[in-house]
Amino acid sequence: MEFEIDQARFLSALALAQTVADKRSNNMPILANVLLRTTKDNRLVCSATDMMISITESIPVEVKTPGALTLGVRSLHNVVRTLPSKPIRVRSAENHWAELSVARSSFKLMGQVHTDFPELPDPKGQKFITIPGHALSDLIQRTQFSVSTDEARVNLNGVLFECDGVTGTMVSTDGHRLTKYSLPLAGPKLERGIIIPRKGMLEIKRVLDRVQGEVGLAVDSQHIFVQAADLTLSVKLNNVVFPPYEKVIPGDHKRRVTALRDELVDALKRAEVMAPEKTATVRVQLDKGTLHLTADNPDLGVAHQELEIDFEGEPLVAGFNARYLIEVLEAIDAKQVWLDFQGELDPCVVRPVDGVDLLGVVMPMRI
Amino acid sequence: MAGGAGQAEGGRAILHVDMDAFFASVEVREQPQLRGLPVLVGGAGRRGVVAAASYEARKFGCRSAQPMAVALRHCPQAVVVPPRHALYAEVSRSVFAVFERFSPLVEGLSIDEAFIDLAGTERLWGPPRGVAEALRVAVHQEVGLTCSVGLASVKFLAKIASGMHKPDGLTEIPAGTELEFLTPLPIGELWGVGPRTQEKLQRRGIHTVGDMRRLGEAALVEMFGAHGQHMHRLSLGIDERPVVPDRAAKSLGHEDTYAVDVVGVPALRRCLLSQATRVADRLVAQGLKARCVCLKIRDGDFVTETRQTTLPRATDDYRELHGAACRLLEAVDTDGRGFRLTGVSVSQFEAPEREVQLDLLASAAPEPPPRSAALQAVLSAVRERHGHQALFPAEAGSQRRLGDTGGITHSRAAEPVKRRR
Repeated sequence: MEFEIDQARFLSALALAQTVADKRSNNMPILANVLLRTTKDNRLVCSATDMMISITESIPVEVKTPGALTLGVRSLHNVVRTLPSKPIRVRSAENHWAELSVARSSFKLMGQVHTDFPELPDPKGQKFITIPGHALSDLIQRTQFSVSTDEARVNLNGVLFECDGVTGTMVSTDGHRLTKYSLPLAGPKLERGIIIPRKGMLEIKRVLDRVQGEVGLAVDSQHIFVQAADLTLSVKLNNVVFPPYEKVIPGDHKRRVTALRDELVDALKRAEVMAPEKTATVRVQLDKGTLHLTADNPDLGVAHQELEIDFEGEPLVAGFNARYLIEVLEAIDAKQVWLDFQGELDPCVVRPVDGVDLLGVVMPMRI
Repeated sequence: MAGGAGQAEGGRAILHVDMDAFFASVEVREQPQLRGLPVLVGGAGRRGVVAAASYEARKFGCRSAQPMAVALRHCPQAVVVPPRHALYAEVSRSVFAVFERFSPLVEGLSIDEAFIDLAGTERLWGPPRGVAEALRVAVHQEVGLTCSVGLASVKFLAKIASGMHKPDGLTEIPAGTELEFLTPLPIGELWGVGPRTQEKLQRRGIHTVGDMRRLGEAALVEMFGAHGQHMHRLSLGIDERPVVPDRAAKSLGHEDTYAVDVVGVPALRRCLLSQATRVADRLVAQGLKARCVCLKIRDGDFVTETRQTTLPRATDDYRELHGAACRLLEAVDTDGRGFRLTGVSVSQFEAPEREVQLDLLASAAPEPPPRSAALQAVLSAVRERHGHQALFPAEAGSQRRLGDTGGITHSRAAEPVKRRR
């Protein structure tokens, strides 16, 4: 095989392939490779996978001889990165070696048998629905922070995605807090929610942030496919049952705080500096018209702040992880927020007074 | 107060007590017909290792840590006894209970070895030498075992002294005679001077502690860095390290060597389950939770791999430890390999927190972790009282049967492991 490719275009494809490829797999070393394959219509298809996430990008090149090559993506990326921005000539040699040459420099790289590269999920036959890329990116952006990173809780290691063809909703929880965000989204219509694993959702966002405008979205029983420009990304879905999250969202409240979001976030960040590092515990005391925020760290000292708020209900004292409150408040685009409480050991519901359809549930700490 | 050279009265008095051939002596105590015979405690299988050799066996050149096959070549008539670690732990507890009557400052180094600081006990028990003798008598009368004791003003000298007249000996290095004692001593006897350091020094003609002292601090620091300074201080008989009761371990673990290589993920997972269970029991016994889980695995070709992971929160639950170990196992290439050893250890201990983050899903979903605390406590309590075989996860069953038939040696992990009390 032999082709000529633009350095910048090659580099950007390899950069993306490198984030997907599994460079540390002991069981399948081939996964540390990128598969390069030419097509009849003068294109190069670059593929990488870790068996959970697969990415394929097709780039216009000048094909001299058709064929395929499998090369370690890390070293190929490192080589291409250092080359001048000129056309690179890539040629396969004997025993799966590859030669790269630009002007008077040439590199020989050792490859692997390209037929060992695993078959990737095929988007052919999928029904793609066109949606604005930024909508999907926004859904991910505002829910990814509360996805569990605890590998033992497999059913929480991803975000729940629901869509009825009109509204798209993502829900994430790590068992201590939960975030639910909805926006208008024209499909794909799903019979039941799917769980996109954490790493996959971040990869989808990475791809979406690279392309402008519309993207194609398709879901089958095993995968979610995202098609954007010359890119196809597939993510294997977590085949587990998401907890019945509606049950943990309190329906009513006994106490309601109305506060300015920015003011509250700033105060929480100041408190977090002083709060115990591991638990980030802050004490929230609610009285008529005032929110008292106290962080007490036996190793450092004490921080106390008061915020003017609107408060309906009996006084309350509760402990919270400051980080949990900060993250959900930052995901809310609104001037004013509501914090709804029941008792000191019951979940607190955070939502905008007016604005995005986002809701956060944060469990308190026993202090 | 530093235990320096030439220091006389008012200095520290530190005992180092080392039980004589501990495991073997316990077995002889339990089975009197073994008395006077060469006894080797350890796995009898072809991969067994000598855990302890009685003094009768040592005469033939048997030593602990020797492969059993080698030991039996030295002494074919030796009686091989499979180890009973639960029993030794129990006897160890009785021995330490005796130590603690003499002084509250007892620092266990292992199951059969401890430092005891006699500071402040003079008015109660009289002069240190008398205390050392009384302690030896008490251990012998109450537990039926002999021990060797070293008495000195500092820890490292006490440790050297206890090894001078073994078994059943008492060696005192009187205050003021430390330098005299140290000068002719081969450098290898010093704590912290291993074979490499020794070789390096011998190339410069340094053979005794006296030679080392004359070499001087500057030269030692140049050769060994900060450790050189420490060595220089030791050569002067200075060792300010205090006796720290109940030294907190940095990690604890359990590993097993198998008579027959373990093949296949399901079997390996069962092995890890048994080990995770034991580790969880010890965490519960010490009121600790750990965040870091380490898997150790060694194949038939002696290739050892270790992998570790940090959990999002500290745990003492055997299922969480087992889950983490199994996830680590997934990263090991197990195809076509048999494994002779597996082990699970934990580190990054955390004391239970004052504040508790409440769980959102506890009421909504069947999430085991929060509820399992009570279960783990009950399981551990039963095993603490009735031994490890009393109650264990059903999946770990087949592994255990292998142990009963195949001469598995249960060894504690190589990391500093806290003594079970």
